[in-house]
Amino acid sequence: MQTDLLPMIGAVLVAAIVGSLHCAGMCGAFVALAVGLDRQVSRTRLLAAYNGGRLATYATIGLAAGTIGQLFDAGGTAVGLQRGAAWLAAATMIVMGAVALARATGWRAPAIPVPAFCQRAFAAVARWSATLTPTRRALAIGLATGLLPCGWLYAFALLAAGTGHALTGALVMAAFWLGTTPVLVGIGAGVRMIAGPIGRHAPAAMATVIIIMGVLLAADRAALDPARFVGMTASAALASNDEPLPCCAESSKP
Amino acid sequence: MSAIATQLAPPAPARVACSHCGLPVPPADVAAVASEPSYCCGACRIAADAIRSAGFESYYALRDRYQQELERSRSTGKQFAEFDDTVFVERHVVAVEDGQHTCELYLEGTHCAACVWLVERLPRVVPGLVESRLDLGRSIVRLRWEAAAVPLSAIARALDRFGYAPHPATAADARRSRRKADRAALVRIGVAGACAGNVMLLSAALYSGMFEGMDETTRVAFEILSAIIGTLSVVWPGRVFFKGAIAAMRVRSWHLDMPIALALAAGTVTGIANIIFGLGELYFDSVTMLVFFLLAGRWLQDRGVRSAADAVELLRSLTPVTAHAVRDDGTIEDVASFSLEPGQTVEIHPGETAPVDGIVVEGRSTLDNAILTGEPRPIETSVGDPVAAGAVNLAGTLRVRAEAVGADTRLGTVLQQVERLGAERVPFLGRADRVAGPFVIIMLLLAAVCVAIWAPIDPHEAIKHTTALLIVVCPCALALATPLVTAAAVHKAARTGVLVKSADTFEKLAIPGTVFLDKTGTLTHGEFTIIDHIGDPSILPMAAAIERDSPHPLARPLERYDERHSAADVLHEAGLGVIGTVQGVAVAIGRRAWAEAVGASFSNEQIAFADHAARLGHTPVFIASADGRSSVLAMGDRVRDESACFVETLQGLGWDVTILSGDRQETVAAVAEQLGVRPGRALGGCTPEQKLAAVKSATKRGVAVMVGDGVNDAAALAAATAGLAVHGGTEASLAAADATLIKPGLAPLSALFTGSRRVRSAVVRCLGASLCYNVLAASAALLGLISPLVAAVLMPISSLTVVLLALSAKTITRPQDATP
Repeated sequence: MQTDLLPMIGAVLVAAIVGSLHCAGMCGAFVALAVGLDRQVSRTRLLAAYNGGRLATYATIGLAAGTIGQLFDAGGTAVGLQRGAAWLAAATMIVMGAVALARATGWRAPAIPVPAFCQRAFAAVARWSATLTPTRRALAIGLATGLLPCGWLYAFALLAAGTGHALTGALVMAAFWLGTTPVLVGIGAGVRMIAGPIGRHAPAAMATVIIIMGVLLAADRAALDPARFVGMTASAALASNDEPLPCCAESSKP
Repeated sequence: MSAIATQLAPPAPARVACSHCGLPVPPADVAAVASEPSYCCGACRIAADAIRSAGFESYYALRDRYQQELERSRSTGKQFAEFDDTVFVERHVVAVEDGQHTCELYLEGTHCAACVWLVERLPRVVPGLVESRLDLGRSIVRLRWEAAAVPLSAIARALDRFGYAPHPATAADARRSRRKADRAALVRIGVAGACAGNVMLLSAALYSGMFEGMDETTRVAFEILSAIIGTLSVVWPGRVFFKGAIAAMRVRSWHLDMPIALALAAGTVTGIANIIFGLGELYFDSVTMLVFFLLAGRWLQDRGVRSAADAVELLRSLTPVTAHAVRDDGTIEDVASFSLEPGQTVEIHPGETAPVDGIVVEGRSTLDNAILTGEPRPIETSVGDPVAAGAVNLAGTLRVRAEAVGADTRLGTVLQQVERLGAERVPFLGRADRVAGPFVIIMLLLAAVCVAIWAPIDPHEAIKHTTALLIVVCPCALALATPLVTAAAVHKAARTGVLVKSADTFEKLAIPGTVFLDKTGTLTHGEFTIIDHIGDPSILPMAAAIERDSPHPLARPLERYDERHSAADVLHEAGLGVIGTVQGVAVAIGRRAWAEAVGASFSNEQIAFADHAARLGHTPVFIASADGRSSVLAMGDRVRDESACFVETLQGLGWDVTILSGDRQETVAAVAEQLGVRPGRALGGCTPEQKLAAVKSATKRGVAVMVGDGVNDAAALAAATAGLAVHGGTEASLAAADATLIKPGLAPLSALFTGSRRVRSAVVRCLGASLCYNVLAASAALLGLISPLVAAVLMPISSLTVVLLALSAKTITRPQDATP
């Protein structure tokens, strides 16, 4: 376990919990579709299938994003750019958050249109899921949920990429999943009550959170020693503070 | 022109909610045409599209049907004309800007996010309605509408059609202040959560810095920052604990806030002192987390207590909102009921509810007094007889001189009693409070012990192990065990068909004591059916034709014999019966003498049958026709099929079962015998006061549970250790009870009783698990076996384990669907 991951994972968790009010509105209907339709199958099982599906997709996205980040970093190091993925991801997040914040507070910039094929694909998946058995349907909906072009979700995917490490990326997305799960499980248990007073400011708050996460990523990654990037024990980190570990040296070889 | 202008103009600063998720839509994305959906993001657009193409409409229909099945479609079919009455408008409606009005209404039958979804989409169905916001916790909907475009009554009808019968939200001021308090509590929780999150992040950085080396300036900066945030958390959201503790000290009593306040103060002071003197250990992460969890737990419990109090408001809506006041000049005017005064005369039409207590001055009718007495049998009423508010007029028009109005009526008195008893009940003090206070003190003591043990050996080690101890010992799991188990059980109970209002109900039902069962409507169906008949069955369709349009409860069971003959010359004679002509033959229904007057006679066998029925507590009804046919029906309230099983389950669990009823002793005894309840435990002829006294005296001996419906049970339900209201009962008893049945039948109640025991053991299991974890973890930390890092990993795992344990516990199980 990398010790420097704790603040990052913690921050992702807190941010995800804060932003999960959005998830309640956005995915509430899907939860209902996945869990609410069938009274024969136990709700726990359907919830588990739905959220398991979500976790699988999220973790895969995190893994993919992390791998891209890692490859990007490897390539960047070869041309003398240190931790490019972190910088790029952080910059994108900050811009993304700033635009969202400006739009939420009244800036009339047009939104990036959603590609039509995406819309069609989703409709197709939704139609298909209706033909499945309840548990499979819940799983399918859970799996598909991660593929919604949700800005909030993909801000965290960016963060995952910014970590520049495949497994860490997966871990970031898993933490995001963990943070959003309580609300999606607890829909109907008064989540709306909290959402009422806070919901009005949710878009602005979420945009701000994205900016903060971006800044955090930039500050964190910039300040870190490369040796801490790879999986190693705390004591090993202390012992080998100065020399890069073999795998690091390897990745910078080509 | 202006219409087009408003359509094309950029939408007013008023927020437009996303058609899919409900969050505000960025102004740039608001659809130009108001009827078009607006989405806050592309994902929502896609999601909405996916839902449509998945045939989700059918899902909505399904869900609505499910909803209706649960509530047996409560649509009342009322017109709600009184909502447009000027008096009502003056009292409840507030005009806001641009000709828009707002009003709050109490909705029956809202209990999940799907309801919120449905109610908040009302503006799409009702043109002119601008906004409809449902506060699920209080079942209050806030409506905003264009006064010129749509009357409130139309909105109310739409709500009613959805199955949510609206009532005027009285006591709005009390609620407004409560909402304010609620908001303040939510803000406190939010601040406490934010503080806790930030301090946790800083602490995590500090802990990891401890191993990897952190530059001194950063460390001090982080420490000071966490001290500032931690102190903020204690001083702002945590202030409530100090307030409680100080208030208790003033009156020299103990309060659960005391140890908490002490712990918070100790943690903060030690933390600050440690920063100043550079002693290292900060307690701010624990302190802030504690404030957050305690506040959140308390808020959740408050909601439970409040929902019971809110329900009392519903009671008030039992009496009609408007009354027909008879003016001195003989004209009749509809006025608001609360504006009536004693001495005034009101007219009560058939099918209406009496708004006042009074004396009949004109007219003759039959009254259904079930609301007060629980007696399903209608009572003949004529000039000089008393009428009680809440009684339903079944036959003729009555004019009543008011003697008592509003809170002074019998019904009002009962309601006040319910309210008082509800308030008297000791509020449920959660385990979170019970556990957390001592917990923190023990934790701080242990920390001191840890320092004391390790400091002489190695000061650095002492700091490390104390840190590990403070992190690894987790109050969250202990504090959350009970609320989680009960919350899960509440949820499961709702799925079996019981809405549990206060979480401590399970605790109360876990240990057997005395259970009082109301007869009418609880053990029986609560409505008249034909239990037996003797004589010529060919006469029954004719009787059904005559009784077709009668509101009399004795008429309803005849419906199933209806063969759509037409009846002529139907004449009701209150107190005697009804006569009419079917297929040219005169048929009379009613008392024996009344029926015989048509020209037929009853055989000895039929008369013996009638006498026997009367002895069993049933009502004999005589039917005779002019062509000599005759029949006798024994009408009565049939015992539910599952009642015997329910009683058996209760007795099996060790409960002492007693039947309490306002009905006649013979009837009650007959039912008791049928159900296997000892004769000495069947008490008939009970007035509400006697029921209350029986329950009260039983509560002194131990646990006393009341199962009943009807307002006559309300006081007893509220006075009992736990009150359980039965579906089909009056709204009022639902308000006074701890749990209410939302499905017909007693099977869910059996499940509740058996499940409560399992809830208790699940709580014990969860508490035990987290206690074990804490003891083991604390010992390990004291012995220096775990590092702060391992502790930081262990803590969330332990919490998660308890959460999973709590949520997976098999508590309330669904009764077999094969109930007869």
